[in-house]
Amino acid sequence: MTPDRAVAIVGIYATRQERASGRTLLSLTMEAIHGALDDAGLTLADVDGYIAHQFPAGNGTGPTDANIAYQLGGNIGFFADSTGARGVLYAAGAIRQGLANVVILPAAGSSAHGTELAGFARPRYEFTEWTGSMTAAQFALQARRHMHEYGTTREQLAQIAAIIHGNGVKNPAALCFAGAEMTVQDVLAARMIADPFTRPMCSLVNDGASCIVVASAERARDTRHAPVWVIGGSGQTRGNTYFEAPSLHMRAARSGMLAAFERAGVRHDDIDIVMCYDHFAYGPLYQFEVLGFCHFGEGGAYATEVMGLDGKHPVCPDGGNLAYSHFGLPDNFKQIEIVRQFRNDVADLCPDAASGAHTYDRRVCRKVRDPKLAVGCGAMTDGRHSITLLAKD
Amino acid sequence: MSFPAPIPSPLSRPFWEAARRGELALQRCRDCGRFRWTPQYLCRHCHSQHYDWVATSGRGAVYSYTVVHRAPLPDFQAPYALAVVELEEGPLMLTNILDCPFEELRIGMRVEVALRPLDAEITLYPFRPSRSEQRPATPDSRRAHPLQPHDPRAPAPD
Repeated sequence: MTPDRAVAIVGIYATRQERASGRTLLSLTMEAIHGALDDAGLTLADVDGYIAHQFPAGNGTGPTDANIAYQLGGNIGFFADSTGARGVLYAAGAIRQGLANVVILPAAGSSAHGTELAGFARPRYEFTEWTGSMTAAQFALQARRHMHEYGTTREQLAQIAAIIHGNGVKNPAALCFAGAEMTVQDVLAARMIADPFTRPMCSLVNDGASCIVVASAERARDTRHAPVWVIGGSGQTRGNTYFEAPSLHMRAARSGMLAAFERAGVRHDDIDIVMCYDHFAYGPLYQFEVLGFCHFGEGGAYATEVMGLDGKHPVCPDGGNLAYSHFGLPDNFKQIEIVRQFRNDVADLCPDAASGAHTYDRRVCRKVRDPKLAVGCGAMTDGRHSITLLAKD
Repeated sequence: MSFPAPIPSPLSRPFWEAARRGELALQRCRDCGRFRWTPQYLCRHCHSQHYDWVATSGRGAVYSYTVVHRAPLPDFQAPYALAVVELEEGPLMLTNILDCPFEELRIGMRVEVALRPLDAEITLYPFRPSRSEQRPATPDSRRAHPLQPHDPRAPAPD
């Protein structure tokens, strides 16, 4: 076992992503856990670590680590409140420390709140909410500043949205599946939410769940699929974007990202897939900057040039937050899509996709050609910046 | 769902009391002299725990802006202008811009605070273009009053 082959993603699963599912968080979570363990060829009895955001319900039920542990028979040796890239890094740390061997990372979101959710009030951010600000506006403020400082254009934002959307329409699991491809003009002409963001430049809102299984190299040997190695990553926090005045302060995360690449011995040029966190079309362009792929200010031109399916660094071949799914915690999908692309388990419109035969005709195919190295971004929204670096043998 | 009125904390209370008195106050670090916003216990630069609340000029310039077309709550009437203002004293502050046609919003525009009582405890701190920037109103001017209908002093939208 080499240091960078100590921890692997061994199982993945996504439930049906849809609007108004009517499903409870608990049922979605349990389906996702079972699905990911089946995918790995493992069972509930193998699980000794649990990482997920906690949603305690007012009546004591709900997907919390304690409730899930109870259902599993009480065998959780490590738990943490996290998801996506940062969750995978926590799992990796725990596994390396010998605190766990098989960690499950479920995530779920549902509009069917009912009595199952806790009665706690949404936190009222003292210096934000009175202004009528909300997520789209917070990031619109960042995007506008980026446009002012660097000359980034609306057309670049629209092109990013159109490219990712184009991936989603080829993904049978996506909310936007079989929709029409969007042009830059279509995106610019769509309904304005918070200037400069039009609706297609913003994340979807829907229900669904996912789960990742992370295991030690030793346990990975017994699992069904080739392991996807967690060879490195970075987890930073700089401040609460939803609470502090939005600015371009996350530029300061770049040094930590460069250090992560260096620790893992990875060069940017060698990266195949970059699963940017596309909360808005603005995300990929500044993330390429912060991740160190290009200089600050170049992100608009750089992203639009490299992010296509046949580009140097394909972004969100699944359709991302913009066109595949956003049930509240889409972070896991940024890991899951890398695993699917590595495994050649990519559902699209190629006639023989199910058997792994892809045409690479971009009218129907969203398979990336032979990816081996990828960046899986966590949510880069509220001042926190996390990535995993994933590799296949 | 009611208007998301700010809820002061022991840390922030002096800000709201100053606003009620008609002042835009910021904490100023007693050791390195930097002003800061939002209220914090420590200076982020020198980590000093010593500070004073200081009344500021209330003036700044627009660092960024957006026009919100889809309000998050029924209490807000879109469209309205949101901005980050860079205060003369240094910090960035999230706020609204009132009394400015949307097409005239621009980064670098000089603005001044226009304190507006919400209730007995809270006075809000939207901004408006500085006197030198103001244009005469026209019937076609778009005016952003996101506080409708909770701000009885705001003129009715066009």
